[in-house]
Amino acid sequence: MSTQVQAADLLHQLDEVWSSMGKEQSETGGVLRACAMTLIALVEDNSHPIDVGETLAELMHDHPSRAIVIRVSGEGKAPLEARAFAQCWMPFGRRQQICCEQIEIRSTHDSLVNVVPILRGLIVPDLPVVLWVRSPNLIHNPAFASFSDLAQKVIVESKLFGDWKWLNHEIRSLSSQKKITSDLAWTRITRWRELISQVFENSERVDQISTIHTVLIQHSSPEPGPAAQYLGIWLKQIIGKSCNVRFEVAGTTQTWQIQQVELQGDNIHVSIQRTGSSVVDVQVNDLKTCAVFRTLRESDLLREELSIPGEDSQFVKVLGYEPFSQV
Amino acid sequence: MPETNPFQDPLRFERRVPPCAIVIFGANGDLTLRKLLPALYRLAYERRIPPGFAILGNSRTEMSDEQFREKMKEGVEKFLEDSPFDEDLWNSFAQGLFYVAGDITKPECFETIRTRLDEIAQERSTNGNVLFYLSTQPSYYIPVVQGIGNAGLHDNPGWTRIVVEKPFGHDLDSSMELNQAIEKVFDESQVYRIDHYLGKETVQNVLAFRFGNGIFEPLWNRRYVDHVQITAAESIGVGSRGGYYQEAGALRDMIQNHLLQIMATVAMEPPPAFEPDSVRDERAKLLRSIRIMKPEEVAQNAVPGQYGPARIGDEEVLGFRQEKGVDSEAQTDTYAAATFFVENWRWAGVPFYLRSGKRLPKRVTDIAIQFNDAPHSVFADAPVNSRSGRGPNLLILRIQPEEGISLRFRSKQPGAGMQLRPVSMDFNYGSSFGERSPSAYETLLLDVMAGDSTLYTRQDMVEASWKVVQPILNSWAETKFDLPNYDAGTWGPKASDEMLAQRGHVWRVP
Repeated sequence: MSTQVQAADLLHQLDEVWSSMGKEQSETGGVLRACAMTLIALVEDNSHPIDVGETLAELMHDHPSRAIVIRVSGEGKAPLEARAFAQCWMPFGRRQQICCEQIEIRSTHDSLVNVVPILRGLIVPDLPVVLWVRSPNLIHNPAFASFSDLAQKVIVESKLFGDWKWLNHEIRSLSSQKKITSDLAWTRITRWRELISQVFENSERVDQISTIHTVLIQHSSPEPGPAAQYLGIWLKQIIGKSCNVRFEVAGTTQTWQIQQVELQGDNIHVSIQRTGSSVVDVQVNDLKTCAVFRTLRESDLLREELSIPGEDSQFVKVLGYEPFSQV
Repeated sequence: MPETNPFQDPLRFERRVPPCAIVIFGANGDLTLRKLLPALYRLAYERRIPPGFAILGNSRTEMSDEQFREKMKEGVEKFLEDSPFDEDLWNSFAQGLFYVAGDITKPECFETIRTRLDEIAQERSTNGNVLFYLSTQPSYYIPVVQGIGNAGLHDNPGWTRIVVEKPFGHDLDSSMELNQAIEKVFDESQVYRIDHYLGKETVQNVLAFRFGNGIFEPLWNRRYVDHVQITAAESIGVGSRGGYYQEAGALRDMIQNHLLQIMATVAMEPPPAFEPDSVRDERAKLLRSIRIMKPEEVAQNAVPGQYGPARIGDEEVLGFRQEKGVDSEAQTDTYAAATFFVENWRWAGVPFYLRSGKRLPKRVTDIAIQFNDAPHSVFADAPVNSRSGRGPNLLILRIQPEEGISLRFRSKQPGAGMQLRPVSMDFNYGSSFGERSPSAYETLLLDVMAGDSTLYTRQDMVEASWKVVQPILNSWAETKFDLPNYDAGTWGPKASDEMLAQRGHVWRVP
């Protein structure tokens, strides 16, 4: 770890990493350096059961990047620490390693503001910059605005944030400033939305949408979490204001899972219900089928978000509505 | 309320398809077991097919719905790639599988199918959408289409489509005969002729590469391209397909369809939009622009080959004539190579070399675009550090097994002096996009259910490509060749190298 952290030093360290890897690998097939973006991860140390490095390693197959992890812990002014290294993987059956650059910077909450000028020198030119706020508490930090200014897209995970409504307000505020914003809680409901959409691919059922008068969303937490809220808002804004969206607690776990969605109309009843850890039953009137819901990892959610570099108009629409207050 | 589905989110959801019933003729065959059912199950796993989805299998073998489901389950478990088999999902998927035994040459078979389709439409809410899939032996295509027409099965409350597997005839005349039978029952817009090569991700990527970037297209013409090589090599022999292959041969089996379609994709003009008819119009135009060989030109521009026995490693490999079901005097081409020219302003004078063969050293399909040398070399005294001495700039579009794109160019060798050496810039499809690529059948089945014919061939394309190979077929049928003319495990007959040598070119070793 260096004590005087400077962008030029870190870039020099990266050059040395590449030189030494090139020498080591020259006889076995070489190293392919891959980079499609700068991904800045803002993380409070020990705030998450899975180390951020593990998630980034899973991501690099699909979204190779220069990943800059900023680990934040402790208070007071303290010198920054940093190191640069490479994450590599060997595609099956190939001789050439594929490697991505990674830079790790350690900072206290109070020193976070000092990281921003260093980041400016570390961003890969001509490629997108994405800020992933893994620990939403860091949005409270006064330096946050400078971090978000560096990025074209800001990704947060509101599931992990205690005061979701406050965070939702912040996300809406970012979005209103034309910053591309996304919330992994929204990403979590893609497959629920996808299955609902699939039901209405049947042209005969499209006419029945306007007859849907009740939507019931069952969730496993004491309060409807952000995912349930987003789903409720999304459904209501498509079906219409006359539709009554209700939330119910099913089970008592703290996993914030949606357990079931039911749509009731005049001649249509749709129910999508979890029946196991990886299966949901889909019932449309009398026809019952099932679908697979694999356990979603953090990297799955990020993978989906990083594939959408531009604005997500559906999410922007959803952000235009206030969360349900009486549930 | 709008007519389209307001819940759609094209940014995040994969393309969705409406409910439908797929009627598979030849449902007891290998294609259904190895390709179709695993692909359909995989689509269900990815949540891409709707709740109201059904498959009605047909073949001569007596089977109940339950027995059919059991048999299909075995196939899916055995041939499913890249995804786990989920018992719960299978049980749900299998509820949509039905079977009706019957002889497709008899009208009553189609009456039974009609009855089952009506029941399925009620039970599964398929909206009367029906997709017929011809997975039988090609000789049954016409009877099946006539049976569908006579029973009025093509007249449904929803949409009706038909998928025809290759071969689309065995020559120009039989292709036209098949088409006449089809068009008596179906409109061309309902007919989906499947060429699974066009469903491969990297063949589609050729379009993305050419028309999604601004820097390559200006070089994509006779001014900058010296020649193009398209190779589809297989390391295996004919195996159990000896009987079929003996009648077909490499020219019919690969070049007439797959390789000419690839050539059309590589050489076609930009379509005005990425829409089915725009893309297919351009492909068809290109195929019609290929110069038809005169009989006296065939010997110079087309080479047949047949593999003989050889020892490859520790294995004694049979020659084609020793394979099961093959005539010991067979004149079949297990290798074919041809030189084609496109008669338009873009490509005039640029040779397109196509080759395909069995028992070649490795399984590989790629397209190599050899660019011209620099007009004047300022490094005249610097020897090119290349074994072949071939021009330095080569663009390779790799289709299988390792899908990707490589660009070869010259670079200065480190150190004193000005020694140049070729280096390669590689893009690997698999490692750059870690997501699993859908199989060609998944793509094509989803497309036909969604009514997207972009990756399917049209009758005018089929006829144009038969016209291109017909003179070669005619000439080869009249000639007795001294076969076998290449050893198994080699890159084909010498005559093929000579075909390129007459224009100063050499086959690259893929």
